[in-house]
Amino acid sequence: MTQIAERTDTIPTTKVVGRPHPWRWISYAVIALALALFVKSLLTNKNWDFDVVGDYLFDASVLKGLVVTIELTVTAMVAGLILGAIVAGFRLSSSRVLSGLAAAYIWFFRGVPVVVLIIFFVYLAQLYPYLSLGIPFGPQFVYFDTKQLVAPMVGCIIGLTLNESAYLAEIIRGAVAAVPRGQIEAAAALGMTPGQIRRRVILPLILPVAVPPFFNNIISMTKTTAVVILASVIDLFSAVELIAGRLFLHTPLLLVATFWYLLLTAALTLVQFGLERVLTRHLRPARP
Amino acid sequence: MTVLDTPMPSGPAAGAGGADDNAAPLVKIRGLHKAYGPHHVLRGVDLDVARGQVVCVIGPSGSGKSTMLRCINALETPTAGSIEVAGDRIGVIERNGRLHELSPKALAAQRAKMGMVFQSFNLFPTRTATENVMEGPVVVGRADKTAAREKAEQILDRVGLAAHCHKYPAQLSGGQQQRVAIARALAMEPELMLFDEPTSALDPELVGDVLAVMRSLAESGMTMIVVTHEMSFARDVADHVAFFDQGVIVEYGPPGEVLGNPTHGRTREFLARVQ
Repeated sequence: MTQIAERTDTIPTTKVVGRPHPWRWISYAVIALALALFVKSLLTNKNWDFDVVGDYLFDASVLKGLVVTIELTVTAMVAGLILGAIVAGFRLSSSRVLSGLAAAYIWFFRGVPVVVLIIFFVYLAQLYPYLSLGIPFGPQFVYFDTKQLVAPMVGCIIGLTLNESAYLAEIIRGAVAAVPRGQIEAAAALGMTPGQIRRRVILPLILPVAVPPFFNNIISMTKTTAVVILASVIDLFSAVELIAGRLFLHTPLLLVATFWYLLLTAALTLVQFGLERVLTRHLRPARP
Repeated sequence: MTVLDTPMPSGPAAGAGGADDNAAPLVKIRGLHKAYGPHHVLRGVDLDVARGQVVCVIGPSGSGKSTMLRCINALETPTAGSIEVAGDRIGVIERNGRLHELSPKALAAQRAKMGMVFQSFNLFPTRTATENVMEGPVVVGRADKTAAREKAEQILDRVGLAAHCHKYPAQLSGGQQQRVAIARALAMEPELMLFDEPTSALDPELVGDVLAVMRSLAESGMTMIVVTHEMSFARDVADHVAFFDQGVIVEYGPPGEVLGNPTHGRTREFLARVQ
């Protein structure tokens, strides 16, 4: 029987008994048991040395190392972003020469281990004692003493930056490739120049796409910086390792480092969520 | 296959430029060819559009209608032939007897004089309706932001969207988005408006609003080239209708003749299928 109906403003709901989820309850039980065992071992095993963790959590040398870790991360990410944007620009160029060179760059610096890059640049002076700028096989204009130019910290930053720039170039390339053609055509039809199209149309569209993988990389970088221990640069990890060596106590000091790495990660995650909220505000429903 | 328009007396509000301006067509296309590799899409198109005229371009899909429209503002580069808009050769400049590609800046300046409306709207999704309309004047025209915002809101009011100025494209219906797109193009005060199947992506109930805006634009004297499948719009609004088939203009003339009394077999077949 079909009937012509009057419009109603009340929203009726039909009561339905929910489907049982036995596997959920089994999972809860298994996880709870494992957690209980772990907590019990934390509380009863004296070898964790939580008192030592407390002693060194805010130790001056640990905090100094933390600052170095942040410096390395920020510098390598900023420099890597600039370099990566340039490489991505070349990669997207219609010139096959530039695109091919950029592809080779990305392949090389994603392929060479970051440890190798860092040690190479820190010990660059052994390979090239002097660096100069000028015309190849012709007159040279400026000379540098490599050892003074590339201090260990600088060598580490160069190595981290080159590695990071290759990854960031790929993130940027992927985000730009995902910009719909129609957007660029609409901007061109308004009379925008290629530079204006990049700044006004492409940039706002790639940001929401690029932010999650970019923060993935920063978070990863905070911990990758620990390889600078091989160049005798004292970052957070080296600082706790030095103390651990002195005390012959590794576990509590690794906990100290872990605490700070997790705190950095938490801070970066919050920044990421905030940025994502701002960058996707155009996708939320209209204000009433 | 040459179909030429005898220069018509100009449209209602086009008298500003003086007699000499009106005599020369605003758009002059000669011997236009476009091929993608071996795929020959446009095979010699000649078309004149006088100031203030509305030309509707109809024809089966793949006949080259949109390609011609996109060549006019250089979104596509012609393989051969020439396009002049207001006396400017589009996309190229002649120096010492040779044609040179225009600089990006000069090309952008040519495009700024024409508005284009796309089938899929192509509004900037991160900007509100008002910001979309301001974008051209502020970025390209270097207009003052406050003045541009005020003007954008006026134009949006004209296309019936005064209540939706602050909304993002994702919060608007297709018909509303397309009207914002028309407003965005109009904000640049173009001499010529190009419409590439502006209602083809819309739900039937939303088509009317967009056509009404286009109709009033035509009445205000705007020169328009409209690629469309809306035969009733072509019949009512167009000064001329060009029927495209297989990359050439097969039939051209006032809508009453082309749509009402087509002489060519292919035009008759096409019209029988769409009506």
